Amino acid sequence: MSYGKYKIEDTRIQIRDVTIEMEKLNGGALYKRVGPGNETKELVIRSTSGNLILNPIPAIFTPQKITDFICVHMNTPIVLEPNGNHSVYFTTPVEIGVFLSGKKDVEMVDVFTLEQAKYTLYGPIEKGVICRHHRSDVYAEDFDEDPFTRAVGLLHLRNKYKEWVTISKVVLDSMGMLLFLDENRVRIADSYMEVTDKDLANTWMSERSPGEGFKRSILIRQLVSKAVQSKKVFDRKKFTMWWGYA
Amino acid sequence: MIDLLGFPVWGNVTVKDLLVVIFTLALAVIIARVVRVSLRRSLKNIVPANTLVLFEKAAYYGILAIAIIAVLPQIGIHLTGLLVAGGILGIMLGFASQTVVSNLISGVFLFIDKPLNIGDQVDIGGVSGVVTDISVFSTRIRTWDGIYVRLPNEKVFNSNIRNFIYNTVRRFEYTVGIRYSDDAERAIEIIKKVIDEHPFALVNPSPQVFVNELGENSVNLTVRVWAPSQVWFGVKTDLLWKIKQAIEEAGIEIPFPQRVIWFANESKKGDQNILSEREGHGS
Repeated sequence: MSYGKYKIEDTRIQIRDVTIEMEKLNGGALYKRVGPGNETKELVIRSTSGNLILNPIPAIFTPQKITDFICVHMNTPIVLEPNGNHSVYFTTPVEIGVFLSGKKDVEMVDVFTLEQAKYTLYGPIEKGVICRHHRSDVYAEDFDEDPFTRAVGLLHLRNKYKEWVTISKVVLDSMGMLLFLDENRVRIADSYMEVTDKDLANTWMSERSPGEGFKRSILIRQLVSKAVQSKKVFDRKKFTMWWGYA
Repeated sequence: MIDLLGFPVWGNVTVKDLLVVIFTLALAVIIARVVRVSLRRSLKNIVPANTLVLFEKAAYYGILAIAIIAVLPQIGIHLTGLLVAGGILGIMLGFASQTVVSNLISGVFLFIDKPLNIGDQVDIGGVSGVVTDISVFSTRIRTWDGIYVRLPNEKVFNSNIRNFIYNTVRRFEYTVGIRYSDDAERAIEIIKKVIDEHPFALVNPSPQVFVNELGENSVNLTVRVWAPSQVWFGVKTDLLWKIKQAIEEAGIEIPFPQRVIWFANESKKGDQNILSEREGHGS
């Protein structure tokens, strides 16, 4: 797999139709990405000891970052009885982040996606939340997906409401989303959705590894919070779906 | 000890009176500082820094002023004599500072009402641009062509405010005319595909494309798209060109306005030709 750490020297990485090349210069390298499509990006990296890291990240950065949230629409809605529990596997979109790591600091310098990004509004026009839109099938068992476009996750559903509920979407806060990768898979940490009332649910994500052999990807929350100097991002634990889940 | 407290310092003012004054003023300073810190903590994310400083100073010195006025009689200074003069001065100052106070109060109401924030794209009574600062007395706007405009808060408060990014999303609309000979359903399909491929043309609220009018020169399609408020203008300009390119690539043309003009002589000839053609068809 092409995810991983690379020394800043003459290197060529190919991911589908995207070519990343580093040409060694005196005291650094010239970074050049060609693709997807007609996209190109060039950077001069001045570093003697740093590394270049390719990692999957939650898909909220392309074409530009306007939200922290991902709304997963389930192709098959799930009907849950009062006080019922159910767990399903689903997918979320990922993008490929290019990071530079140095002495005690990591910085994202490039990001691209191999899938068409699409956004949607969750909630009303006045107060709703912009989300990255994603459609996913739901599965009873774990499965493999294309690691460059999607991560597989386990969603634990719980209905604490007194009536039957139909769940067809879940909004996840990417700032709490941990991605893990092994040889050829990308997984997200387990996510939870608890229906507490009609049209009201809470979602949150675990920070535990989904299994042995998985390495944690770079936590995007740290980079974003560093950029905006906000502690609020760290304090955010749950997202409340005020405007329904059907 | 009691004798010491009752010891007159000057006139009827005793040591006890002086201690009361010192204690009251010290307490007032402590309260003022607590209020100042509380204000800073609670408003630092809501109010701009320069306005916050003003609020802090107003609260701090306001509390001190009240304390000083309260303790003055304790040391034999009575303000009743000053009331008449103060009243007249107050009326004069009131008239002089009417506009300033009006702006100040409007500023306070703007903070409460919050129709706009720094960075918002707005139109205030015909002045359009980006809000760069909101102070207690005025609101500053950088117009689209980069001109600095200072609006007194009273005017802002009394004007119609259109905030283009107040809501999370906003809609824009195009009218796309196609020839009568073109397939409108195909044109709609192509436009929907272009919208679907644009990342920021939102899935929900869903876009609308429909035949809205049979115009003089074209069949007019209305295209309505919702986009996130912070990027809507870029999406609007980007999509329009992509729609134009896509429908032209499919052989669908956007017609120019047309007029068929018949000249008198040509008209007779034309009428005769039409008649003879009809007769030909009829036989």
